[in-house]
Amino acid sequence: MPADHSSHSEYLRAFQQFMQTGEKAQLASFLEDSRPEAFLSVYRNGFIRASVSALESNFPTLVKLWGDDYFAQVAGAYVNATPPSNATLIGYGFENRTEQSVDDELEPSTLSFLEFLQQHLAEVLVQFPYVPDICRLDQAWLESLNENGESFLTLEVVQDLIAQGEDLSELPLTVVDSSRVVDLEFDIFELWGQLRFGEISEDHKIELNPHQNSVIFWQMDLQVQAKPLSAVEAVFMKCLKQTADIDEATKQALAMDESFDISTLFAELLNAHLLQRLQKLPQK
Amino acid sequence: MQSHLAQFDSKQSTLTGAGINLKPQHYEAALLLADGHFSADAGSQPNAVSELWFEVHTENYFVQGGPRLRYLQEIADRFPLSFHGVAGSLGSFNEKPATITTSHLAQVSSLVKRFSPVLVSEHATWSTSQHAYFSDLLPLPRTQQALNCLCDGIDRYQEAIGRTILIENPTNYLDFISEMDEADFLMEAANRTGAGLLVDVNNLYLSYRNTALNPQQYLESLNPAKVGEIHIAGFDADPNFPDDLLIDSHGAPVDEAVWDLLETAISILGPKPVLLERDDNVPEFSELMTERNRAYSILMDSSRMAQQPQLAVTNAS
Repeated sequence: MPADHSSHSEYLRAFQQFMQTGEKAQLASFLEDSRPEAFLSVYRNGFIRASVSALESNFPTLVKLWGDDYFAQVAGAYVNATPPSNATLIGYGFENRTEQSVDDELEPSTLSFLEFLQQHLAEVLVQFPYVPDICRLDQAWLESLNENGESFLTLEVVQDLIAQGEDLSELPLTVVDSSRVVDLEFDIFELWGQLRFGEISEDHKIELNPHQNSVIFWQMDLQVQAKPLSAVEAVFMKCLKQTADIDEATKQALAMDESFDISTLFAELLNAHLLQRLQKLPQK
Repeated sequence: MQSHLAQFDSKQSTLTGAGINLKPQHYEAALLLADGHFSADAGSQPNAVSELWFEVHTENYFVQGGPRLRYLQEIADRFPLSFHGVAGSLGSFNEKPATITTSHLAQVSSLVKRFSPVLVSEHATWSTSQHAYFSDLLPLPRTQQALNCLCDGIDRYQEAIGRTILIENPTNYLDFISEMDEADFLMEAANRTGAGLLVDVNNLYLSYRNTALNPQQYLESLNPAKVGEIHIAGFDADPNFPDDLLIDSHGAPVDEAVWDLLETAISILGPKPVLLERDDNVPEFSELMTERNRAYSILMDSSRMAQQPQLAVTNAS
């Protein structure tokens, strides 16, 4: 059926089809002049280039690992399969994104870049089994950098609370908004940092054995901090983030390790600006 | 939608001079300039900060915190600031599902309230449809339906942020079925919504080269009081069609032909704040300041010419 050239909706749909598939027949029928239809490619090329560039910014360590050309090839395939659904490219390709509709409903995110790799480049991941870890580290670093890093509990506030007779274990304390705990399958955190920040060459041979471990990122003084977590610290931090209940988090940690010492960890978290007081309790 | 916002009038805008679109790699250089540190480079002389301002892409600051927002605050404390949105998709507003989300508008509104930019602008284009964001400025056919949609989008955007915006002309690579000229299309949108116009002279030049649009006629069709800002930028030949298509790459210095067109635009529209855009192959800050200063000189020359007494010409009897 020929397109209704008076319909703006039909024009947009024809253009959308072209942008997503390269199929230009419907869109070409809206052209007025005799300039080559092939010129339409400038729009599709611009869109793919901008989206690939966003993925390069969001996964810079993976770019260093794979090289610009191969990453661009893979990223271009992802863009075609899963174009951005959010009108900002910050976080494009990240896991666990939710989008907000005009009706304020949260909609589930589309396929992440990592999920795309796992589904469509499984054979490549056999050769590079630590790539999921690299993706998660890149995501956590950037998310931490762009979070609010200015709300944290200080020693002075804690001392005031104690002086007022407050029981710290009763207060809704949690980890700061900028914190991200990343569970890794390989011991790659140090290597990731060296690769990302240029301390090793991009053709450095990587040989790793599987080893589950965790790392936490957070923002302090406008810079991203990171440190490895022990297994029990990871359990404590995740529970605290979820429940804002120090007692509950301590119980879970003790269940894992009887020697867990909350007072030592609490002091460390306070000094590192990793704790904040919640205004509202998290939903159960 | 009947807007309660006052119509944009460039006479009431306080922004003057010439600016640069600000990139993160230049935050420190811009702050040094504000604090009186000048280098011997051609681009940063003591008068370099005279009427200097900065523009940012609004969506790049859709973050909760961190150094990006902190730097923006420090820049805003020292220089006038302008916000230039690139993802509002004003021209597909009426589509279902809706293309401008409440969240997007809320973020723009929050940034505008926090930083009080002198100008806020967007594009007379579209980029989102059916949950897909195409991260480019896609053209609108110049039809009544498209115009109605664009006006609804502008109204919604202005209502959300509580002020009028400027809308920028697109770069044309082909002509789509149209019912009116582009200048008329944009003026109608501006008059209906109270918005102003941002004239991108590089886009105008590329539209002339790509689709034979007449820039002189175009500029003369605009109401100068509606024009709040001018953009200049560099372009490149399309790698696939190097002899036939010029693309709005923002990745090269401003071409001499665009400098000429800038002078023409100012002679027709009057002095307007001019912004230098560079988004790709971004050079050192001093190089951008050199181009910015050239734009500023053109503005100053134009202002001086306008102030000179007109000589009365009499015919000898």
